[in-house]
Amino acid sequence: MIKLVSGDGAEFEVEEEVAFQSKIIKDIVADADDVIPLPTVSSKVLIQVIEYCRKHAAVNSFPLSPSSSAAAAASSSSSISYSKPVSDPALRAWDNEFVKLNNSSLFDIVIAANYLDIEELVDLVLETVADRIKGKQAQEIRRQFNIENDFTPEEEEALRRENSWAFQNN
Amino acid sequence: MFTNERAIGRPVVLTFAVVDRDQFRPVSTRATGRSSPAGATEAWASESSSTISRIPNLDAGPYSVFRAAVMEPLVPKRRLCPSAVYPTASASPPRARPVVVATDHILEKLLALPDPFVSLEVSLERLLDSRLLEVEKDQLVDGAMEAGSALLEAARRSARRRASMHNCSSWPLASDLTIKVFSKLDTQSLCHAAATCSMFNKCATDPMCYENIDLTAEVPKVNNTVVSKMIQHAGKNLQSLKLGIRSNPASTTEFRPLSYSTIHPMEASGLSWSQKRPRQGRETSLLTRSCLLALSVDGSAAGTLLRRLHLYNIDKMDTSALCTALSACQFLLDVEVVGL
Repeated sequence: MIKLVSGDGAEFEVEEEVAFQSKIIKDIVADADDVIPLPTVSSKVLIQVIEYCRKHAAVNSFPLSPSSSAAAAASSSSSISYSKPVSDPALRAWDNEFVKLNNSSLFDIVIAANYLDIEELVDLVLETVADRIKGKQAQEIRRQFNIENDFTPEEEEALRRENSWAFQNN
Repeated sequence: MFTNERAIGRPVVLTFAVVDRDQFRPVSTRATGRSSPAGATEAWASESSSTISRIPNLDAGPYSVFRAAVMEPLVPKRRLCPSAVYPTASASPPRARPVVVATDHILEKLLALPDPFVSLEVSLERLLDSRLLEVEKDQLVDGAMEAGSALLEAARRSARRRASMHNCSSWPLASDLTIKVFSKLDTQSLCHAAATCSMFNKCATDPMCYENIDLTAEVPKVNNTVVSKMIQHAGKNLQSLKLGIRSNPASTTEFRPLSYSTIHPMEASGLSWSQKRPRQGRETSLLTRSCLLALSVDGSAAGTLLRRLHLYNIDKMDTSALCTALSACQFLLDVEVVGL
């Protein structure tokens, strides 16, 4: 077991293969001890990240080397078992539920996941954020993310002229 | 400029210092012999007979100016001239502080006016009445306009700066993550994102955002110039390029655009959907045989890494132009050409 300590001092014991979803933790554990302080990650965010890692560790361990003890431990630690063909759609559905969060929670998670180097989670969240931008006008994007227009009128006019094709109604 | 150096830690001050230097000077040179900050603001706010002089005495030390001004507001000072009021950068930097502080003080009083629209107008009228010469009145009006627009411009700049700061907290992602988000957008959404705020605009210039260019649409929107520009934005990062007119699967039963040449006769006949489009847009939305030329320029830089090329219903494209484009793209894995 590996002990993760959040920025607000909460301790979380997680199985190695769960923690090792984070490449950075894997590297740290390889040449240091099993208590890992994560000062920039709050416990609220760390709980969500661990939830994601636990799920993905359980699913990912099956296609990987089944003989390894890590895979055995992962399967015993999780009551859910997937066979390879159904695991992807099911996991994707789970991921889709996981990211049903408000923008600021998503930002917190992606910043933590980026810091912990959990590539799949970073990608999942950024994809979700991109989906919230797609097909929207600038004003709708501002509303979605609580962003204020900080262009001068001249700048705004210039960049709309530059990409005028994108701003035409069709 | 020394004012800039001094203002690094206090961005708000910088604006006022600049306003003060650039905009208030003409007024001060017309001021009469009286000069003190406190007297000046009071004159601005209420007194009708005294004249406005917004510049403190710079000969006193940084801190004594204020005390002196407050304690003896109407002590006559020698007549000010611009060079004495505004030391240049090479002159004596320590003198900048009193100018800045006094301006702050004046501005604070001005902004605290309970009903600025009425009181400023009344006050300006009184000042005008107190002037005898027409040329003085003209100068006063000009100065008021200049000061007014300077304050307005400063406020707008501050508002934009504050909006930028606000955006950094609303969108806490570092630019590398923002660029990754943008690289997942279709090209039109990317343009809208770039028009959202200056932070997004900056991130949207990164070549990574243009890895996958998708300019397909149901109606022609882009011309060769737009395609070239997008390919240039992507540079060596270009991985996928999709161009042309694609029918929306949901609307295939009603309307299926086949090619540019089938669409344009329909536009000419005045079908309802075409009337929404500006007339001049018709010629400029054409993709021609040279639309892929940007792939070949600069030693085929943009074509080098291109893996996917999809072209839909660009009937002006011919075999030789297509071959030229394809020869620039050595690593294509996925080519789809419909309606050549």
